[in-house]
Amino acid sequence: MTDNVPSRSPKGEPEEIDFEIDAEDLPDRAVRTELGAPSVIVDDVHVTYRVFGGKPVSGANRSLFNRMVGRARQSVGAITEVRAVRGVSFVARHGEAIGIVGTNGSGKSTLLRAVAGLHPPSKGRVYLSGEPSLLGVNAALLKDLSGERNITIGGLALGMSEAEARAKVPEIVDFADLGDFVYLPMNAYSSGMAARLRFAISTIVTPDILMVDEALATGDAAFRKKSKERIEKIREEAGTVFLVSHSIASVRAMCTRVIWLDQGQVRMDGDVDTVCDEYQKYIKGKNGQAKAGGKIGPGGRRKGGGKGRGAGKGKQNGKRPVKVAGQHKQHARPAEAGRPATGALRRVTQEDLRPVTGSLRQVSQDQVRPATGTLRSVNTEGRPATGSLRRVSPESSRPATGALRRVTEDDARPSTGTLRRLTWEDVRSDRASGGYSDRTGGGDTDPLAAPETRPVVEPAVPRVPRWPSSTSETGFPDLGRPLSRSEAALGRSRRSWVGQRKPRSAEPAPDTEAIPVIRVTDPRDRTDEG
Amino acid sequence: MPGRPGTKENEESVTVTENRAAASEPLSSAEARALAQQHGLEEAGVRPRMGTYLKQLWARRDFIRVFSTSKAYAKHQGSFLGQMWATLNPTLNAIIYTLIFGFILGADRGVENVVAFIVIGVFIFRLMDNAISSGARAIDGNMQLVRSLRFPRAVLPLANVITSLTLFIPTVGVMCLFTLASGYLGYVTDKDLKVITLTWHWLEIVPALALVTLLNTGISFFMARYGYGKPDLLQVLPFITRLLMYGSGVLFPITRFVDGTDQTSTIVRAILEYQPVAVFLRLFRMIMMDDATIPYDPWLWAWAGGWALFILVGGFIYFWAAEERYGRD
Repeated sequence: MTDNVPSRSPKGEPEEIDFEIDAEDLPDRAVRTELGAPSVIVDDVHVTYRVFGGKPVSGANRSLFNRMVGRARQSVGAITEVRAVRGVSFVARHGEAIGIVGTNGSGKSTLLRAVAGLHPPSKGRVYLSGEPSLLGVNAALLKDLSGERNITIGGLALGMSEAEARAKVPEIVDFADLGDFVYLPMNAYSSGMAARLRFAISTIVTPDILMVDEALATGDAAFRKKSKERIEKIREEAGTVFLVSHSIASVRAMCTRVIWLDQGQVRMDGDVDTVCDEYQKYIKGKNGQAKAGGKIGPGGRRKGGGKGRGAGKGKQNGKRPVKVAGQHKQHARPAEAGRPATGALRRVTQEDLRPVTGSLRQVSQDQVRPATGTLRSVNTEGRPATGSLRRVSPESSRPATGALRRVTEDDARPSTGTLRRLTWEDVRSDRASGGYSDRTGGGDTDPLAAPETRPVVEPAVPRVPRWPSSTSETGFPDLGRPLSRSEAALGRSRRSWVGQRKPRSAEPAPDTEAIPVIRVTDPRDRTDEG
Repeated sequence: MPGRPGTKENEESVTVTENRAAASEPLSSAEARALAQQHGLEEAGVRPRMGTYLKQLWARRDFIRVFSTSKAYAKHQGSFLGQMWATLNPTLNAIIYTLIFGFILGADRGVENVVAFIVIGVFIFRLMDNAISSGARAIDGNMQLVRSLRFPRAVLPLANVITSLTLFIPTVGVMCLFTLASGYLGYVTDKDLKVITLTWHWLEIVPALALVTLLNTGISFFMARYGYGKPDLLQVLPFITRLLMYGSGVLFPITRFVDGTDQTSTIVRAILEYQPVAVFLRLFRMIMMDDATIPYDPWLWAWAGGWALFILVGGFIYFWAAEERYGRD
């Protein structure tokens, strides 16, 4: 792949770097192969969603009667049509690698699914020259079954025979780096592990037309590198490649042509550099507006008036370090204005997996933050409360499951608990093992999980600290590397001022570390022994 | 708007139509179709012919089997007793029926062994009930799968049926045991329960199960299309199945209540007696109970087979006719 055009893609200001891909991961430009015959013809495709249970209520100055009727109609007989893709046409050829870019909710993923034949368009036609395969983190899996079983089912669903699918298991396990977890039910997996497994499963077969939906955002740096190599390999064999990504860097690196979608329509379609430059200019313009006045720019208005579907996808929100505050404002406000219930529903059902990796976590943190923030700022006595609350849940559930766990599902149960808790706040533990090692007392053993899980599950423990690292790219790029406690404190205070998101992720680490170690282990050990 | 990336060499290699395709303005629908035909592209999301569809379905038989048995396995996986519940659940059910109808309630309902009558009726009915309610959720409940992988969608209702059949196998054992044991309850209580003995007819349970599975498959296909995109139907469905339960003589012989000799009563009785659910309940009772009120009738097999085939074929065609629409909201 390191071929004729070794020029690194020109980057804008530092804040324009997309942190989905580490800088060192960036390959040289995609190799342009000679274009062959058309492989995908998309003819005026429209995709419309029907959403139950929510209706946008518009108009501020309405009579009481109208408002009551409106409220009733919001709750009964509420069906909303969301026009996600509105008349897209293009022709793709063999040998082309097409990036699809656009802001959140512009219909990228929906378009891809329609082209893959998975979401029948409500109008228009798609012609394909072969079997398409949508690669990504969306592949459905059965949560109650082991990873091994899911790999087999995935392979079968992709059209393999059972023998072939079983033969693929070791390879997939190795690739997804699951280790012994492959024998545990998938609901014991961290979100990063599950996403890795999904991605690995979807790469089992080599399709004629490959479609990649944000798969590059999965997993930790090492896995992203691996998955990129895998995509490259498949790309060499596949005829045509589509890549949906928020990462302009990876689009530049991997694509020969870019389609920019905006409100479900093609805004621009052409050479990778031309379109990417324009798109980045557009994004920069939006950012600038948001920063300057805190007002909703053209992009914001668009979003509010339109669907607001993907507002929660906002991967970049957390990814742009300097702009955390500004961007946040700009993304969240218009979405709230235009979203009434429809947007939320839509996002959950359709984009399903993506929120788990990216935005769900972010949203929940947004929600949690005010509470935690105020508590903390009021006094330090607020903190034990938060701490104990967090510990109560695993604790209180444990008596019920405790007896069971000791007998049979020795492994699965505790790791479920651990995993859950880890994903929930993994940004912190991630940091603990990464940059803040001196502060949290040792980078290798996980300060949160290790003390309480070790008596129960030995095999699980060593892996614990590594899962969350998968989410390192999901956000909070302001991962500075303070070396000393004072430096950390300094950075913390500054950041909490600026971004309002820092306090949660940076500060509680020491507390949560300290408290569970003391209180969690003691009562449990006692109950276990007695 | 800039043009498409057309470099020198590939412009040379394309035909006139493709040059048109490489232009910046989009193709018209007619041009798109012509271009697609010229290069042998096939339209996506079009319903395949019935023959092709069946072939595709056959190619996925491994998937159907593994997927459905895995789902059956997963159903009881989240508990401590795990797979034991597959047996425990019907056993507990049967114990309750036995307690209520063998000890507490007095009515013999006009049959010689009311406990066996009810145990068989309830279990077989639940198998069919399951096909209705799980069939209605076959597509919507697997939307994740539908939106991420391409396969003939008939896989989903089929897998549902096999899942419930897999889960039903332990139930068959429980059902047989309780039917055999129920007769001896008469010695414990003052109830008059006929002792049921094992006969060669019991071997016919296997073909009867096969027929009821065919019927369930048809029901599942029908409900999968009918229930697709109708979340409200799921709310109504329990009431419909309950009505069906009382209308099919699960807990009592329904025909007892329609005993007039006029023409209307005769017609109503014929409908109640020969509707598919009633036919299958009667078939199993006929095989297993050796009851004076349910004499062995070979014609019942013909009725059962006819209903199963009719509903299977009809349901499959009905489901296939909307194949291209599943997954669209």
